[in-house]
Amino acid sequence: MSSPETKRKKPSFLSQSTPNLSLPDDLLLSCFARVSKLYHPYLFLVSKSLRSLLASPDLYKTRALLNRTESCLYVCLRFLPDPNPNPRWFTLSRRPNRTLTTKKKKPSDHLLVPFTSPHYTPLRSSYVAVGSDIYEIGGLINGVPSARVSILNCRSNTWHKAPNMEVAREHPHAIAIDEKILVKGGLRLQDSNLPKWIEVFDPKTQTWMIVPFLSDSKDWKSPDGAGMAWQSASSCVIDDVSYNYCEGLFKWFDEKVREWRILKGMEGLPKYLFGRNNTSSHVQLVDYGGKMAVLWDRHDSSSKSQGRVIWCAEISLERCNSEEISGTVEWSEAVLKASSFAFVHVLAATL
Amino acid sequence: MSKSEKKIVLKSLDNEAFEVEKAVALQSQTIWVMCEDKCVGNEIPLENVTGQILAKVIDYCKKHAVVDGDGDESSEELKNWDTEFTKNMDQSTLFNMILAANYLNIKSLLNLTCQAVADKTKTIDEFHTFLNIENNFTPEEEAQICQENLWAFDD
Repeated sequence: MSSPETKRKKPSFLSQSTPNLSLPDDLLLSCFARVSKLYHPYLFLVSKSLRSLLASPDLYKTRALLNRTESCLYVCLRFLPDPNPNPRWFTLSRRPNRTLTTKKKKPSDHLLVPFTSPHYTPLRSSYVAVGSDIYEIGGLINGVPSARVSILNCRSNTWHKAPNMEVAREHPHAIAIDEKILVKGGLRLQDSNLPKWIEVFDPKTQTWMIVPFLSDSKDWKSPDGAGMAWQSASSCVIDDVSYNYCEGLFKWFDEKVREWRILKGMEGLPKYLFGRNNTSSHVQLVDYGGKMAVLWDRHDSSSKSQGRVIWCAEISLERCNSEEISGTVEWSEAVLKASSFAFVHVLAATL
Repeated sequence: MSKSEKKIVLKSLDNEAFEVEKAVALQSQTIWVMCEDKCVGNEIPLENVTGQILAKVIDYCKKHAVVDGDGDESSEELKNWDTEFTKNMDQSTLFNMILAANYLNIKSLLNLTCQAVADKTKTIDEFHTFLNIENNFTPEEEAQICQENLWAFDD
């Protein structure tokens, strides 16, 4: 690989003499707050001062004031076989239109960018996003269920500890409701008595509370009526509508008639996704700020080895009438080349 | 209000005078406050803005004073005009426009010019130099960054 410097072609813009003018910090902040988070991983490489400006609470305050908060996609992957079984986290970002040396094939616009923050990720944890934080809840540590909770601060991409749950849980069902986190199930056999079944975390007070089990509450029911089924990877809930992907079909759940309907549109996704033989286990659906992000993997045709490529598509959803929802593919691109891997989790945080 | 009171004279840092309609000038909150105070006559000195920049600011205010409050078509036209307005501004003009919009307190112009700077991020190398940001990583840090961020250079 050639050194990065050789690829940095000086833009024509530079040739004109520009006086050395700079802006005061508050005005710089006002400029940077308008920059999409998709470009942040690149801006982080520019300079130390820019890095600290981009991670500052003031930037996020300004973004909120300017109504510029965005949904950002986070992807956790476990690589196999890997001497270090700890999964790695990636964030979806967008390539700037840099002036490249003559290359015929244009690289894709979007890509998954890894970030390195020391953190031990247990097996079979559950993940949920509240605002700009991603919570990692429970999971197996040394083969034993744990009450441990960690927070990924998506502003700085760093991990820190949160208060433990009241009980240890393995892969519990975790959802965010009204800025609180509701966790249920995943108990060890000896704990599986009802009073501890559900607990709620309030990020404002940083406390966990066991709540009584209310079987008729709307929040506990899963849309397919099958009771407390696991939220599978190939399904998601967007604006109170459940979507899933199964055997080559994208569907949504019509609450009125209580049946699954085909999601219309979706033109622009590769044909193999719609084949009955497609192995759907790797297709991930996720709520991406009211849109749907679909991630899947495919053999890397450009390499002779066993390499795989992760693809991602962003889909906007429109309800045409009470019986029809249509999906429009906004873009669909290869976002990461990888060896053998498994999706651990995909979710969107708000930043 | 007599006819002469509808006009106002803005004087730049380099003593260039611009006679403009009051309605145009009052889009600046700073000028508005100065007029309210009545401590200034019909001529308002603007000590932080050069004539070259002030001329552009007045162009912007004239355009926006005329079209504001009209129907959808004109707001679309206004948007296109805004895009053209900042499109070919060089770095020093754009920065001076931001400083002027901030000093004169014209919110929509400040939004427009800050957005124009933000849009430069889409071409990162240009942006780098555009903001005169110094790469203040040490060589060791830079080597580590390159190592950890191979994705950024692997086109």
